Amino acid sequence: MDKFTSILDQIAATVDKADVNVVFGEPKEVQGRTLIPVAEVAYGFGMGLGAASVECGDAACVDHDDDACCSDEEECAGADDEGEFGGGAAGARVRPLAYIEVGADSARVIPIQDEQKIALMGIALGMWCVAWLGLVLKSLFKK
Amino acid sequence: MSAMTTSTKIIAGAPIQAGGRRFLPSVMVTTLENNAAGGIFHVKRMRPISVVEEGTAGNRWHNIPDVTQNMLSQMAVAALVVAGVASLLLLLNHLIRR
Repeated sequence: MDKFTSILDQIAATVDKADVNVVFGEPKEVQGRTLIPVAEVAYGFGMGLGAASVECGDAACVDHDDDACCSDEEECAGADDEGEFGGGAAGARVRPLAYIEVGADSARVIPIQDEQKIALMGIALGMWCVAWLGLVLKSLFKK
Repeated sequence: MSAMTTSTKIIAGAPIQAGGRRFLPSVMVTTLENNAAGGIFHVKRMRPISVVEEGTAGNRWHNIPDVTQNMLSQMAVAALVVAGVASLLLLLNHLIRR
């Protein structure tokens, strides 16, 4: 259980570092212009821990019909056992949204489009429209 | 035993100095947490909302749009409209033929 607590403490420390200031990047000088990158940041983690124990009198005697099987110390020897198990996962995502171009007299926000996502959605939308159109035409020209 | 909590806050980030001006960012933070006896999970999303430019001429507010998400939402609405209109046409056709 101490290990589990230690892992949790480490994760909590990492999460504290990932505060809101990671959303706006450091200003960069690019070809005479100052750019501030802006991104959406998301992260998550989860973990679980369990403990199991095999005690004389229950699991150790499951295969024995004899109620007194564990009354014998020899049969109980080595039957007491316990263990801990756990698992976890974590993930993070950073999606660029825009950059701020800082000019000599004013700044402007330039959005960034995810062309691939939009193209895929466009193709899906096209197929969706064609399918509905096909259904309507089939219904209209049905004899 | 299980305690799931969600929260949404708008938090001001640390001011950014660039080009001789100061920018004050604001971020929307959405948190989903679950602390149960045997396990926990924690999900956090930080979405930039706006930035206020502080200059000698005054303050200017800049919105930070999520263009991709807006476009995907518009396409989803278009898909629903197409499905609705097509269903209506199918229904009308069915009623006329009856």
